[in-house]
Formats: sequence, structure tokens, C-alpha cells
Amino acid sequence: MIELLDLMKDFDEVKAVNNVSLNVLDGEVFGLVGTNGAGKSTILRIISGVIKPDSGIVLIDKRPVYDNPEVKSDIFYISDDQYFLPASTPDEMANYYEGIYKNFDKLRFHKLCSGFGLDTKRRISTFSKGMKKQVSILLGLCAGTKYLLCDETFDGLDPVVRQGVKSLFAGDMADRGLTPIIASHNLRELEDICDHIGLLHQGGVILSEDIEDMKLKMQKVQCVFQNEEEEKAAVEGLEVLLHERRGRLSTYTIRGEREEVEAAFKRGNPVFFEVLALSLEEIFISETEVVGYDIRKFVLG
Amino acid sequence: MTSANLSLGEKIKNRRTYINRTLWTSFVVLPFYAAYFILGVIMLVSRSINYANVYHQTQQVLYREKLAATASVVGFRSMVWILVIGTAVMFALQGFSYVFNTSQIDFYLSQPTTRAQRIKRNYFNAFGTFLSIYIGTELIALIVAAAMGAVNGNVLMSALIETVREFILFFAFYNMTVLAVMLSGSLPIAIILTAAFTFVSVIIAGEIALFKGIFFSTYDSEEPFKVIFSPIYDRVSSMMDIYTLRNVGENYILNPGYVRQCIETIMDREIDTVVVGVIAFIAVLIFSRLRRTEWAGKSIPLRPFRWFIKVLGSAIIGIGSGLFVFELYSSVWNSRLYVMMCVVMILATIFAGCVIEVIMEGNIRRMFKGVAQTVMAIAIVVLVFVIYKGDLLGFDSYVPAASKVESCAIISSDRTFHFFHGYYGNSDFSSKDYMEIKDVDTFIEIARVGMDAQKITRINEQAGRYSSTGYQVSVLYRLKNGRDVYRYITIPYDAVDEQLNKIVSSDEYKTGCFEVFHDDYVREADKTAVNRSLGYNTSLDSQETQNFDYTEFSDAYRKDILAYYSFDSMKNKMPVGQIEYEVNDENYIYGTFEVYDTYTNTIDLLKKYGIYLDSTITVSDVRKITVTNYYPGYDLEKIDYQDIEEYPDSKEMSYTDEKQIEEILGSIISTDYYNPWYNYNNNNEQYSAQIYTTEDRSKYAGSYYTFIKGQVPDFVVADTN
Repeated sequence: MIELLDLMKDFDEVKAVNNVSLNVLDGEVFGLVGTNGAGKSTILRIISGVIKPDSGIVLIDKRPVYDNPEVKSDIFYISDDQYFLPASTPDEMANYYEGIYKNFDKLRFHKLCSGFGLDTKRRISTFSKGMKKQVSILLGLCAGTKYLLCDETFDGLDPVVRQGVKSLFAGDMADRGLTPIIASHNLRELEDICDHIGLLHQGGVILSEDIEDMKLKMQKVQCVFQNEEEEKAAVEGLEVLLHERRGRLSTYTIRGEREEVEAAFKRGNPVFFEVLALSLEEIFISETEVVGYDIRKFVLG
Repeated sequence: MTSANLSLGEKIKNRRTYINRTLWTSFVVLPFYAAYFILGVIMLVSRSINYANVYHQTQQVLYREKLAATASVVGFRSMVWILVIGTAVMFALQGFSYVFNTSQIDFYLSQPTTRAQRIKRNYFNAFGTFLSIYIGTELIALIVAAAMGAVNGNVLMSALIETVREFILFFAFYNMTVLAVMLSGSLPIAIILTAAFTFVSVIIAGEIALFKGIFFSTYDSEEPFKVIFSPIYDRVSSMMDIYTLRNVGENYILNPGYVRQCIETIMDREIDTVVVGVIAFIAVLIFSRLRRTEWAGKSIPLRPFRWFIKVLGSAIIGIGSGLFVFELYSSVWNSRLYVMMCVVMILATIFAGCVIEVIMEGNIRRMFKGVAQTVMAIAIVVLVFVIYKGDLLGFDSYVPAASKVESCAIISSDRTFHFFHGYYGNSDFSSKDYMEIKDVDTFIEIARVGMDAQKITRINEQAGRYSSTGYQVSVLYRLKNGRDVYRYITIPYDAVDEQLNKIVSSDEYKTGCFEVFHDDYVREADKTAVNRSLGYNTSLDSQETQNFDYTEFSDAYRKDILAYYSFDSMKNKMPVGQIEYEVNDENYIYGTFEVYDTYTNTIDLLKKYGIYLDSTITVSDVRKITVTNYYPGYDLEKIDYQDIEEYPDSKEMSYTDEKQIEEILGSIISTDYYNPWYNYNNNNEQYSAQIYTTEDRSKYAGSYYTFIKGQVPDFVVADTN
């Protein structure tokens, strides 16, 4: 488990990380979302032991990470602009990491490279951006570490590869308890991968929730009532987060269990009502607008 | 299979791959070392063999030359230090430049290691690689040299010590460069900082020495140029000293004391290099802990160091500009120009501050930022100017207390001998190495008077008035605390003659001043010299012989100096002639010895060799005397020549009348030869006399003489004005 408590990091006058507290549970895919400069990379670099925070606590399985090789051997960090040794090939990088991470599985690496169509004898510098990302992901997966930190790693991957990587993540999570932490500036990229999302803005955490919990606790209802009194009566006592009206058709985003919401609407005698599935995007819009943010401006693009 | 199951061989192989990928500079430097050591030895030794064949050298000479060839590649005279410095800087930049790049920092520091381990590993890789390359190529070169018969104990010992020296040099430069990297945020700034660390102490020492020369009347250029904390200076000056080691001769490589002598010569500078390396290493340890990952990309992120660099850099440039102004105006310098010098120094400091700010910021619009640092730099520059101009440290009035002085010396660099053999010369001979005057009280009495007189002389010189007011000499006080103090003084004529006589008449002065007392290497070289001569010159004639015994001559000359040389006897007397000694074969030696009429042992020996010439002139020897008055219409015994507004044309008059010639001969003196204790103020430089002798008396067309003050005959004055 990764625990961040009251983490602070300033770069001169800029507050890169501002009082961040997060918990990453073992075996879940944690997504860090935020705009450029929101502090995602800084948090990942702090977790990986590259940067020392100005204040606050970072614990990996109850152990401090900074300058602690034992803890760092459980972490593999894939940076936004992953570095490879000069003029190296995937094979040579695998050799290199083989000497660094005791659980590095070179055989698996070669198999996966073959599966992804990557030539292990070719210089990485000649690879495309997406291919380099694939090499770094495969190296990270084959390192056999408990935690895999991915900074904007899914940018530049085509859908087929993305799906393949997702399957690998799922397999490793099931097989050996891998805990991936994925940072991205785009919420839509994480929707189908993450179990838990931490939303960052200007160095601080706006929101940190399990996606399933959020989905269960929030309902979207489209309805038509005979008159406004009946509609008011139906939503009375519910925690309405958003309400839109187009003609007589109303759309409500309401915090609450499905059964509770359905019961309330049935009591209002609606002409028509239907509980719809909420996308991650909608959940975030609703949650963040409540606390005064418009995340459409800075996450959804 | 995971890495936990890797064999040792596979681990080593992976490690080698890593070093190859990260220390690729080793591939660049390896051919250079191989070329330097292996090719160098092969080429130089084979050149010696070919030379010996062509010029029919003996086996003994060939052996010596082959050893010298190997030693010049691997020994104390090696030039490999240039490669070593380059390697150290390259390895350090290569090993630590990851701190300038965020993705490389992420790559390396996210791995299961500590910063300390990473630094340790980089050091281990760099030193291991360097030593492997250096020792590997050097060993091959020595094996090749041994196969060519060009190795002996001295060569091996000097190669071993040189290897240690190169390791020390590598250690110092590697640490200096790593320190520069740790204190900077980008490669260009790290390179600039490395250069600054390399040269800053040399520049500061140079500026201090030049400022002393400009501002202090008694500053002596004999004062050794001392630089501390500069491995580059240590190495270059050591190399020059080794090349000019005295008393080692051409057989140095066969000389059993050669290695010891070299070590003694360079030890202080090697220690200085080690100290720099250790300080830099400690600083690396400190700053590597202070260094933040986010410094990557910035110029000099550590604020106090940034201030320090800007203040120091601006001040150095500001002070340097003062030196530039002085150099520009040195030929027309006067005290008013000090104001301009100060103004230029302030302006240059401001300009330097702006430029340094632009470099550190990488933004020309930041030119006028950091005003506080510039103000501090200006304050330092002005303070330095005021300290030197006002002599606030009392340089020109410092005379050490007698109780603190171990011994003294009057420094004379007037060499008797000029000795050359290949690179070696004796140009560094100085009496300070041999003269130890223990009569400190008398010496200080003279020096005190001389300090005051020198200050007046300097003031007069800056006012454009040059005149001989005394004996201008350099003096050295060796303090009991080990410090040497040098001063340039003017001992006024006739002011402290009694004290001067005590000093100059002492054996300590004579044996220290005259190189003939330290001519063992000449005596040695003379034994095997073939093309050699001893000549005797006077103002009228010269003779030479090849049949002489140098040792016999040297002994006689030494005896005369000890018996007859004194201030009182030399004050009013000029040498009657000069002996020239010359060897012109494998060694070149040229020596001159002034002869006074009191040097009876020397004169007797010259007579024995058949080359003595009487320098006295009688009326019967002279056909004609031509007197030249350079300033007709003036009397320079009453006015200074510098007060003449318009220089007149000189006027000549020739005399053939015996009575007139006799009177002139009684009032002139030959100044062909130099006597440091002669009171040249006694001479009247307005007139000169050219004597034309009869053909059997002299082979020269005419010899020049000078009139003694107050003795210019009236008819000469009347005829030439």
C-alpha cells in the first residue's frame, strides 16, 4: 500500500504538490488525473524516490522510499519521456534491468516483445514514439516489481496495443498482485483501466474515490412529470447534484442508491422516468462542480 | 529466468555493457593513450637508434639516449598530463551529466539505489576505467621499451611515480569537474565552472602580483609567482622545473639521485594538487547531498553560490580591467591616470556583472538584475584599489624585525655562466639560492634607508624624472617562520657605505653572489669539452687561448674575490678587463668574469697562459682623442638633462696635442665592464671620449671612455660648447 500524507513540494515559487494525501491500495489500478502542471509527475517522482518532498510522508508498505533501495526495488517508474541507454536495443535494456531488478524476467520480455512485434536487436533510438512506450511498459512489467508507475504512458499507444497492455496489467494484477499507478491528463484514457481515481488540480487533490463506489452512489435520471409540483415532490429529500431541463424532459444527477432514487420518483407519479448509466466523465463533472470546479475546462479537453 | 539466477559471468557481462554505454568516452580516449605511450616509445626510441647510427654515437651514448626517450614518454618529463586532464573532465561530465536531464535523473534515481551508491559507482567506474587504460597502455609501452633495451631502474621508478602523479592529477580534475556539475544545472555552465575552478587561483595570483608591481614602490619582480590551489599551475610549473633541474646534466637518466631530486622539486605542488582534490571531493559529498533533482536545467541553482560566482567573477574582471588600463598607458603613466584606472575598473565590474547575469539566466533581458551582487563586486574592487593605492597593508614600509629574520640576501641575477644542454639551461640561477647573510641588523639598517629612497625614486619616476640616485637592488629576508620577503630598494650613494662594506666584504655575500663558487657542473663539463677557449678582453684589445686549466683558473678567481672584493675597493673602481670562457660542443657554456687590478692571482694566471693585456694607456699609445658633448650649451653637472627644453645637436672635438691628451686621460674612466657597486653618479655622462691608439697598441678603431664628474678639462668644456 502506498500512503501519501500532507505531501508538499515547491519548485521555487511554484507549489507543485500542495498538501496531498492519498492512499493507493494493493491490487487496484490507481489513476492520477490532472492538467499539465497539476502535480501528477511530481507525485509519481516522489513515490518512486526520485524527488524528496519538502514536507509530508511517503510510505510504501509502511516504509519510507527516499534513498531506500530496498523499497525502490519494489517500484518501476516509467517517466513521461523514458530514458534508454545511449544506442541501446531492447535486448540490452533488458540485460541492464536484469542486473538492477532481481525478479526481472528476460524470457518473458522477449516473448512479449515478439508478441508486440518489437525487434529486440534494433536500436531503440530508431523506434517510433509509440514503440518506445511499448518497450518501456514491457520492461516495467517484466521487472517484476510490485508497483508500476506510469506517467502519461498510454499516450501514443494505438487502441490494439492499449487493449493488449490492459490485459497484461490485469494478468499481472491477478498473478502477482501488481499495483499500477497511471497518471494522465485525459480522464477518458483512464476510464476503462482504473479502479480508483485521484483528481489533481494546481498541486492539490480535488477528489479521490473508487470508480465503482462513485457509480453506485450516483444516479442519472431522465423523467417527465405532469406538472412541476409533482416533480418537486418526487425529488424532495434527494441530494440533487445537477439538474437540466429541455422542454418537459428533465435530467437529474442525484447522489444516492438506485433503489432509494427509484422509490422517490415512483412516489412522484411521473409520466416517464428512467435511471441511466453514468460515464466516469459525468460523475467527475458532477462531483467537481459541486465543490466549485469545472473540470471540463481542465481535464476533458 | 530472472536476474536472481544470473551467473557471475552474466552479471559482469551486463556490467560491462553498462560501462560501455555510459562511459563511452573510454573508447575515445583509449586510442590516444595507446598512441601516446606505445607509439610514442616506439618512435622516440627508434629515432634515438637511427640518430646513433647516422652520427656514430657510442653504445654508452645510445643507451643513455634510449633511456631518455622512454623516460620522456613515461617519466617525469611526460606530457601525458594533458590527456589525463582531458580524460578526467570527460569522464566526470559523462558520468554525472545525467543530473542535467530530467528523464535521465528519473531513469537512474528511480532504480533501487541511493544517491551515495550511485556517486560511488560513478567514481569507481571512472577511476577503474582510467587506471585500466593508463596502466594497460603504459605497461605495454614499457614492455616494448624493455625489448628495445630502453629501460633501467630510473626509468621504471620515474614511470611508477609519474603514474601516481597522474592518478593524483586525475583525482583532482575529476573532483573539480564533478563539483562543477553538482553546483550547476546545465552542461555549458558546468564546463564554464570547471574552467573557472581550473584557472581562478592563477588569475587571482596574477592580478595580485601585477597590482603589487603597479602600486608598490618596493615590489620586487624577483618575488616568486606563487599560486595555491591550482592543479594546472602545479603541473605546468613542476614540468618546467623538472626540465630545468640544475646539476643533473645530460646523464640525468643514469644519475641515481635523479628521481629523488625530481620528487623534492615537485613535492610541494603535488601536495597542493592532492589538497585541491580532497577539498573538491569533500565539497562533492556535501553538495551532492544538497543538490535537488529539480535543479536540472537551471544555470547555478544554489543561491549563495550564485552570488559568490557573480561577485567574484565581476570583481576579477573589474580588477583585470585596471591592469589593462595600466598596460595601455604604461609608457606614459602618471599619478593622475589612477583616477581613470579606478573609474574603468568600476565600469568594467558593472559590465561584467551584467554579462554574468545574462549567462546565468540565459536571458538578455535579465541583464540589470542582481544589482546587490554587482554593488558588492564594485565595493570589493574599490576596496582593493584603495588598499593598494593607499598601501593600507603597509607593503612599502614593511621591514621585518631583526629578531624574526633568519638570514638575508642581496639578489643578483647577473649570471657568470650561461649553460645549455638540450632543454636544460641554468637561466634560473640566482644568488638568493646561495647567499645567507647572518648580519641581519646591519642588513636591515641598509634596507630601511633603501626602502625610503626607493619610494622617492618611484615618485620621481612617475613624475617623469629618471636619475641614478643609488644602488637599486633586490633584497630577500628569510623569516624564521619560513616565509620569504622580497623588496626592491634603492640604497642611496654614500649614505650607508660603512654598513654596505660590512655586508659586501663578507664571505657570505661573496660566495653567494658569485656563481664561480658554484661552478661544479662547469668544471665537470669542462673535463670532456673539446672545443673550448679562455679569452681576455680590455677596452683596447683581446686575446684567447685553448691551453688552460679551467679548474686552476676558477680557483684563482675565487681566491681573488675572497681576498680583494669589498665595497670600499669597488666603489670607485671599474674592472680593467673581462675574461671570457666558452665551450661549444655537446654543451654550450659561456662565462664572463670581471677582472680588477687588485686580482693578482687571476692576473698572474692570465700571464701564465699568455693572454694578459695591460689596460693602462699612456700618451704615447694615443694618436687622437675625440670628445663628444651631447648637450652643448648646458652643464649637466649643474642641471638635470630632463630640464633641457630643446635638445641640441651634439658637438665633437678631436685632440692630438700630447698635453691635452694627457689631461684627458687623467679625467676619464672605462665603463665597458659592469661593477654593481660603482657609484655611477660620479660619472659625467654629458661627455664621452673616443680614444684612437697607435696600431701596435690596439686592434680596435677606437674605444669609448667616460669623464669623471668635476674633472672635465676646461679646454674640453670651452671647445665643445
